[in-house]
Amino acid sequence: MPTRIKAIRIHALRGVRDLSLELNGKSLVLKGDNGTGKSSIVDALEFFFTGRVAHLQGAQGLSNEKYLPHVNFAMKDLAVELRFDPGNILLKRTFKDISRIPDVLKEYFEEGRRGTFILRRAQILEFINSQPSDRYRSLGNIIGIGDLDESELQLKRVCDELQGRVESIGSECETILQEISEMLKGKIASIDDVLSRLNSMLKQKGLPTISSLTEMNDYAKKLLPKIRATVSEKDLASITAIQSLLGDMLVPEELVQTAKDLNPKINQFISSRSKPLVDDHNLLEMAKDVIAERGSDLCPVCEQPINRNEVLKSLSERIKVLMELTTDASNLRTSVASLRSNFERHVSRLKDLYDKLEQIGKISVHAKDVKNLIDKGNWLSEQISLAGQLNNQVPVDDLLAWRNDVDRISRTLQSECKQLLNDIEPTEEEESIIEAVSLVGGVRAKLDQLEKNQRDSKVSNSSLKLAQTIYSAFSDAKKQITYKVYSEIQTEIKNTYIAIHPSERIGSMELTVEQKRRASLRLNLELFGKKGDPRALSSEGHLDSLGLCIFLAFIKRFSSNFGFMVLDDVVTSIDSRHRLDIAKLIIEESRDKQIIITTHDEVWFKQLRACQEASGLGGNFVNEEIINWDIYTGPQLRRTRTEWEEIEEYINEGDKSAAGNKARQYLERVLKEACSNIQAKVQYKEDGRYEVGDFFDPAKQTLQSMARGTLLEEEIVTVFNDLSRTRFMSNVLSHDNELQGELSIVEVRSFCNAVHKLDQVLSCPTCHSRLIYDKQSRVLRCSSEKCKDPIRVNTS
Amino acid sequence: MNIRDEIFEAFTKELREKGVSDDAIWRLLSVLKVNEVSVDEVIAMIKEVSQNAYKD
Repeated sequence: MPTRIKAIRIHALRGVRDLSLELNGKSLVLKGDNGTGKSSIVDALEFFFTGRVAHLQGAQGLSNEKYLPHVNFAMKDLAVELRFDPGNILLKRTFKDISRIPDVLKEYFEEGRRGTFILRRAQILEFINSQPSDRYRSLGNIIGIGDLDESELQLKRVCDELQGRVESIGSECETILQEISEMLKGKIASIDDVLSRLNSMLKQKGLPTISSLTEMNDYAKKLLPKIRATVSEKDLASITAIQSLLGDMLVPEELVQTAKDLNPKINQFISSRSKPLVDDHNLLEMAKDVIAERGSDLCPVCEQPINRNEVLKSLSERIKVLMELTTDASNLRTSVASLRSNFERHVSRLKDLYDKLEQIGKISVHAKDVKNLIDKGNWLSEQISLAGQLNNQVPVDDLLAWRNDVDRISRTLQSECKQLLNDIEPTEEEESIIEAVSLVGGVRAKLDQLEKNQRDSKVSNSSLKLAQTIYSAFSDAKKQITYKVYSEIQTEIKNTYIAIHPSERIGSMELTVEQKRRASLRLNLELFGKKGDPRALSSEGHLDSLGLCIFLAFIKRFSSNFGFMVLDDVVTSIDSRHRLDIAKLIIEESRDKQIIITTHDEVWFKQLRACQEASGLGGNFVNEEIINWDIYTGPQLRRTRTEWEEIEEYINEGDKSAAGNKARQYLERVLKEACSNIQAKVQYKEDGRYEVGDFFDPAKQTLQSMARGTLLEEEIVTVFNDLSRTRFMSNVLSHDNELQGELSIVEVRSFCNAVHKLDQVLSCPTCHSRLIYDKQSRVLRCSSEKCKDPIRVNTS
Repeated sequence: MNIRDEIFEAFTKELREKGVSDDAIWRLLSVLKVNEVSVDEVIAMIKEVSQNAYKD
């Protein structure tokens, strides 16, 4: 026996304060006006299975923690409980955890965990409005891989960031070599050139030379003892080390200029996110503005109800993702990453300076200022990082002020270090030693930076290579599998689409992932001999149903074992004729699935109920209406009943007229369907106003003739005999007839029971689908292809 | 198998073909399969595994 949800209980979630739904394993059709809590119930199911509600998370500061709990409750109060059959297993999900999943439900949960069983109106809308490159992503949302697009984008950002770092390190290495060249007054092309050039300068001053680069570290220790002891050797070493650091402290004007140059590009990007859509789709942009400005929950074009916030959010996110994937954005991110990396090296030098300053009492007073500059530098680094996400500009004024402060404190310290050294009143020889120690210390500091950069460069290069491999593998895998899946399900999509649009000549239908582009899906539909983008060929209603067909095909392909599906207000823009076909299709799906359908559409709700009855599947459904909602009580439900349940209730209340009237309508529907299904000959009426009498005899004669000598014969004869005796009551009870008073409630019940019996006799005992006459095989059989034990009566 | 699993399986296969080690792939998948991972986290992970990312 497949797993089915027996009951749902929701507490303190969005618009629901407390709600209990008893399903007993049946499907649910839920009707309610917009804003009455239908989607809250869907959100609760998504939360229960996945632990989050995707559309309330991520973009624009949305978070489940903030928006999922009911406004009058805290996060800890929120709870969703589902009871499952078989086994009557109760499971509860809160923000903190979920009950232990028993082994028997593990597979079911594994399927549900991905949340692909829900189709929402917003997803369909996004699909309808998509351009090819965007449609790939909108379909990704329908089939539950939307977040993989975000992962792909993150991997692209990782590549850009690492590319920026590699470029920045390369440029920094060149700058350092240039600076060492200036210090040593000669061209230094690599570290190998340093020692010979440095020794040549030391020789000129008559000072000891250095045999290896590591010996440079001890040079100060070796020479400083030769200076008279008016200042401690340790201080002298620190002062010369600080001087070396200060020589490299100034932030180049180019860094600020780079930030200034980047800002207009970032700004252009921020302000023109919707540009490509504007170029190709002016109408879309206008609609977006109108929806945003109006504050109305009606679509400005078709005046159908929409969820305004979801539509706007969906549009903004779509545009954002699209734009961020462009090459311009990628280049811009690389440039900002390079700027950030370069800037952080200056902050790092300030940190080195801070450590040295604390060691010298006379100038340690400046340590606090340097600390402030480090803190401000860290803040600026974060701002530059945010600019790299193309959300804001680099704060150039703050950067300039910081640079000036660094410049100021650097000059002050240089002057004070010079003064400290002057205080010694060095001899010419001592001055030469101090200069040489400072030079060797300065070059050593530069070499340390260079070596560190070369190590960083090696790591960054190998990281970049790996990141690029990962990104291309991920992107290719996603494209390749999506393409494969689309190819596999095209026939299924087409068949489902034809079932909804039976009278339209659909030539071919193909979903193609274009190989030239990173992630582009072209959807071609051939209709009335023309082939092209469905947006050009079909109405919004057609695209609406196409999105639904794709979802159903994916469910069949990937969630065939799950057996649960949620359709949240998905047929808003479809006309009533096609809505009926969709209703038939979905009710058919309910044979092997538990489905929850929400709608605000009264007509579609009625069609769904009529299809349940017509297919004999009324018993598989619970139909509920939300009759009221407020923030304190949440949605208040009223169960809508089947025709037979209504009749039974009228009988129990003793309302003969209402029971008779309803039974007459019931009989008319059952007979009409019977005549159609068994191909009984009914006399044509020009005005189309058929009554019970027009169908009764043709149905009776045809059925009795077909059932003769079969197992059905006795039942059919009996039920028509009962009806022949009692159906006069339908006329008496439905009109203002004086005989009404003469009829007892027991007599009325006998008529109603006969009608209900006919309904049962004309349905398959296994799956309750209607019996139809198969002319070719000359059998009366169950109409369902999915019936596990279909009835089959040979009429020949 | 669902479409996500199929994608991750194809991704793993492609990385293996490019010589990426199983350990690096495992570390990568454990990061990528988590929702809302930041760029810095991915970079940190890549830096950590990049030295020994490829099979000998």
